[in-house]
Amino acid sequence: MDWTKAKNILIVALLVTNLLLLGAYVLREMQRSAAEDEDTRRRILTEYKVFLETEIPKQPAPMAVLFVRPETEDRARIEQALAEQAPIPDDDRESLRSAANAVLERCGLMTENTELAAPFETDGGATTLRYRDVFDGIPIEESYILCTIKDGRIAEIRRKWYTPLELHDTKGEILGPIEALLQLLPEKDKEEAVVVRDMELVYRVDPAGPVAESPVGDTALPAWKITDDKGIITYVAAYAQ
Amino acid sequence: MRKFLLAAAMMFALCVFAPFSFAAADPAVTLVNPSENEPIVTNNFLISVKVTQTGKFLHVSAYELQQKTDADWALVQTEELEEYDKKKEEEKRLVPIMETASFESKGAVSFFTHKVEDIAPGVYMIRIETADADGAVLFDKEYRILVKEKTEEESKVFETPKSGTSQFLQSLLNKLFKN
Amino acid sequence: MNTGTAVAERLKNILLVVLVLSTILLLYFLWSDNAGAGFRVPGADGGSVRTIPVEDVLYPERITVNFGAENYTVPPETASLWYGFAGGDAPAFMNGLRKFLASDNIAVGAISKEDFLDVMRARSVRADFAFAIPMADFCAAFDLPRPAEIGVIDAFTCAAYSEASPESLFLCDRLGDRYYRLAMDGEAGFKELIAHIEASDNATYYPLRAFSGVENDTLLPLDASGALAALPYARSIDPGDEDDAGRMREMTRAFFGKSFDFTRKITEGNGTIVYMYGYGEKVLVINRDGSFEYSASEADRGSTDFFGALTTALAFVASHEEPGERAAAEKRVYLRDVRSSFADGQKAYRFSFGLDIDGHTVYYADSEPLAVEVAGRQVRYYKRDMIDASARESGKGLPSDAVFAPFDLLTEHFAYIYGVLSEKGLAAPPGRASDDESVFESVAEMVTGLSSGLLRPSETFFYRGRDERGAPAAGQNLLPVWTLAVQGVDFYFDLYTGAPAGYYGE
Repeated sequence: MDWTKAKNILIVALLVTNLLLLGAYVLREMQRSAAEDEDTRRRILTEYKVFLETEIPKQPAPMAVLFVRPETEDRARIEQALAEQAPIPDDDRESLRSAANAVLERCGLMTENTELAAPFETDGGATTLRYRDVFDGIPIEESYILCTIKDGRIAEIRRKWYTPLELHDTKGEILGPIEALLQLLPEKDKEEAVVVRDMELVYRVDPAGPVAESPVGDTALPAWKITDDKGIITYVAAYAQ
Repeated sequence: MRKFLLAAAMMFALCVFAPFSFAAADPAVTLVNPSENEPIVTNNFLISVKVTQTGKFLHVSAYELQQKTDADWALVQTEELEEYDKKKEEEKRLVPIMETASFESKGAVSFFTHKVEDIAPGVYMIRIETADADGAVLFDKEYRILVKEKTEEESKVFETPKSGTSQFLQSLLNKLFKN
Repeated sequence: MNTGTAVAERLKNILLVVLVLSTILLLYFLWSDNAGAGFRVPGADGGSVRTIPVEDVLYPERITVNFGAENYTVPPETASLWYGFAGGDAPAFMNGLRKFLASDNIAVGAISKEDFLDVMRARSVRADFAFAIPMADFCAAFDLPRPAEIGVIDAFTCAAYSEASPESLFLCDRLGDRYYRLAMDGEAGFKELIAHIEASDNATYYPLRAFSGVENDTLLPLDASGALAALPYARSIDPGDEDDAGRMREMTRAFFGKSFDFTRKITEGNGTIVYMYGYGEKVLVINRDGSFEYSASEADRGSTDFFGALTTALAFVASHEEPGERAAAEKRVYLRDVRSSFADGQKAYRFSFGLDIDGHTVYYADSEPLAVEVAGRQVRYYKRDMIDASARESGKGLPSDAVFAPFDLLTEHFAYIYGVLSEKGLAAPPGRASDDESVFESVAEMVTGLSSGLLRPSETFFYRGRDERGAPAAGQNLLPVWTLAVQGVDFYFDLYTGAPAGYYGE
C-alpha cells in the first residue's frame, strides 16, 4: 500500500471538505445577520407601509417592573386651592407655568416626579397645561395632571396619578424599537399607510385590571408608546419574551 | 236493691280497674325496635321506644320467657310458644335481662334507646309502662319478641350472567387474545 | 533525500490530524446551531420532582361491615382495608378485586338493586367511594387485569362482598343506579377480611331504621368514646405577617416561574394581592387570610382521563404548597369529590380534596381546603386554603367525657335541620298539616352519613379572634364535632354537647 499517495489524497479531500463546511457556516451566519440587519427591518416596515417620521430611539438597557401607588383625588383640597389662587398677571408661558405650579404646590400635587410636558394646548379661550409623571427619566402612563387656565385664572385641575414606589430587583431584556414596530403589523391593514410621529419608552399601568375596586398598589411594566400622525397611540409590551 | 248495689259496685270496679285489665297501650308510645312482627336473627337488642308526647314517664323492662322442663328452667323457643301459654304458672317464669330503665320524654318526638347484649335464640318480652308524675301506672304494654337460631346462610343464587355457549366462546377468545 | 521526505511525511501526518479535527469541529458547529441555541439543561427545576401518589389520596369514604345477626360496624380507617398494609398480610379489597379480574372464568352481569340489597343483608362487607371512578381507567392505573367482560361496567362507586354469594364480587354505580356482579371460581380472601375486621376492636353501629323505625339503612353508633379535644391551629401562610413574606414570595415564584419578574402585582384596599401575567394568562389571587386562588387560561387542547388528570393535579399540588417546614401535626389531603365537565370539545375534571390532621378529618364550615381543576394536561384552576395545627402533646388534653349520642342529634335538632334544608330548597317547607313526627321522619329518611372530626369554624369566628397586632389570637381552635350528612348538606354539632356548630353544602 502506498501510504504517501493515500495521505496526499486524504489531505486534499479533507481540505476540500473543510472549505465547504466553512463556506456553509459563513453563508449561514451572513444570512442570519442579514435578517437581523436593521436596514432589512426598515425595509420590511416600508414594505408594509409603516413610515417613520421620527428618529428611532436607542436600544434601551434591561429594565425592571416598577411598583406604583394609585392616588385618589382630594377634591376638597383642590377646590380650596383653586378658590384661594391669586389671579395670573400675564398670559405668557412663564406666568402661566409659575401660577399653575404654585397652585399644585398648595394642593400637594407637585412632587419630584411631576414634570411639565412640552406643548401647551390652546383651545378657544382656554389653555391646558399637561404635567407628566416621570420616574428616572421614563414617563409613567397614564399618569397626568391637567391644569386648565381660562380668563386669567386656573379653572380646573384634573389628575390621574401613579406615585412610583420602587423597582423590582430583577431586570429583563427590552424589545428593540424596530421589533416593537413590527408588532404593529399583524393588526394593521396592509394597504393603509401609517406614519409614526413619535415613539418613546414608558412605564405603563394597564387600565384593564382584574380587580373591581380601586387598588392601593399596582405595577407598571415597560412599554413602547407609539403615536401616529393622526394622534392615535398604541402601546406595545416591551419585554422581549 | 242489694242486687242493684252489687251490680253497680262491680261496674264501678270494672271501670276503675279496666285500664289495667285491658293492658291498654299508650298511643303516644311505640316500640320501634326490636320488631315483634317476625322472628329475627340477632344476638343483641337495640331497644328503641318512640314517644310522641312530651312529659311522659316510661318504665322499660325486658325479660326472657323461661319454662320448666323436668327439673331445669330453659329459655322458651319460638316453636314452643303455643304450649308455653297453656302451661301452669309454676312452670313459667320471666327472667329480667336488664334493669328496669326509667325515661322521661322531652320534646315532641323523643326516643328511649337501650342495648342488651348476649341474646340467645328464644322468646323474649319487653314491657313498657307509662306512668304519671306520681308514679301511678297509666298504660302497660307487653311485646313478644321472637329470636331465631341463626341458620346456614342461604346462598343467593344469581342467574349466571352468560349462557354456556357464549361464555365458552368468550373465554376462548380471551385466551387467544389475552395480553 | 530521505531526511527531507521523512520530514515532509511527518508534516503531512500532522496536517492530516489537524484537518480531521477541524472537520469534526466544523461539523459540530453546524449541527449544534441547527439543533438550537445554546445548551439545554434537562429538567428546568433541577432536583427531584415531588408528587403525591394516587394511593395516598384515593380511598373509600366509608367501609361498612355486616357481621350478621344485626351486628354492624364502620371501621374508622379505610385506606388500609382498601389497599392493604404495606408489607402486611392482612387481606384487602384491592387484592380481592385483582383475584377476580385475573380469574380465568370470570363472568360479569347486571343485577337489580333489590337483589343487591338483599344479598348485603347477610354477613358482608362494602366499600363506598364518594364519587364515581371510571372502570377502565382504574384498571389501567393500578395495573389490574382487564378482561373483556369488564367493559360493561362504565364506572363504579362501591365494591361489596357477601357470604350469601361467596363466589361473587359486587360493584355498583350509585349515581347511575346500576349494580353488577362479578363471579369467579374459588375464593378471593373477603371472608378473611371480614374476620380480620371482626377481630379488632369495633364500635357497634345500628341502622337508622332500628333507632327510629324510618326506612333508612344509614349506620349510626349507639355511642362512642371521646378522643378528640379542641386543637389550636393557624393558617399555613399569613400575608399580614412580616416573617411569612419570604415564604409568600417563594410560593408565588412557583406559580410563575421565570416570568415572575415580569408579572403585574396589584394590591387591593382590603389586603388582597393579585399577581397577573400577560393578559390574564396566569392570575394568582392571594387573600388576606392566606387562602389563594390561581387560574390559567393557556389552552391545552390535549385530552386526558380521570387518572391522567388526577396525576397532573397531584404533581401540581406537591409543587405549589406553602414552603418551609413548620412544627405541626401530621396532615394529609384526600380526594373527596370529583366532578367532570365538558366544554369546547374538551373534558375537564374538578378534584376537591379534604384534609386530615393527625388522623382526624378536618371540616371547614365555609370553604374547602383544596381544589384543582384540570383540562387536558394543564391545571386550569387551583384553590388552596390550608391550615397547620400544632402537634398534640401525647396524653395531654384528652377529655374523658362521654360524647353526645349521635341519634340524639336527630331527636333534638331535627326541626333545625329541616329548617335549613327548606331554606335551601332541599326539603318541602313545612305546611300547616305537618306535625313534628312527620318532620322528624322526613329528616331521618334523608340522613346519609355520620362521622366525627374537627371543625374549622366560619370566617366570622376567625376575624373576631384577631388581636391588636392582627395575628390570630391564641384561642383559635379546631372544634371536635359530629358531622351529620343530610341530603348533601353537612351539619356540624359539638361532639360533647350536641350544640349546632354550623353547616356546609351547596
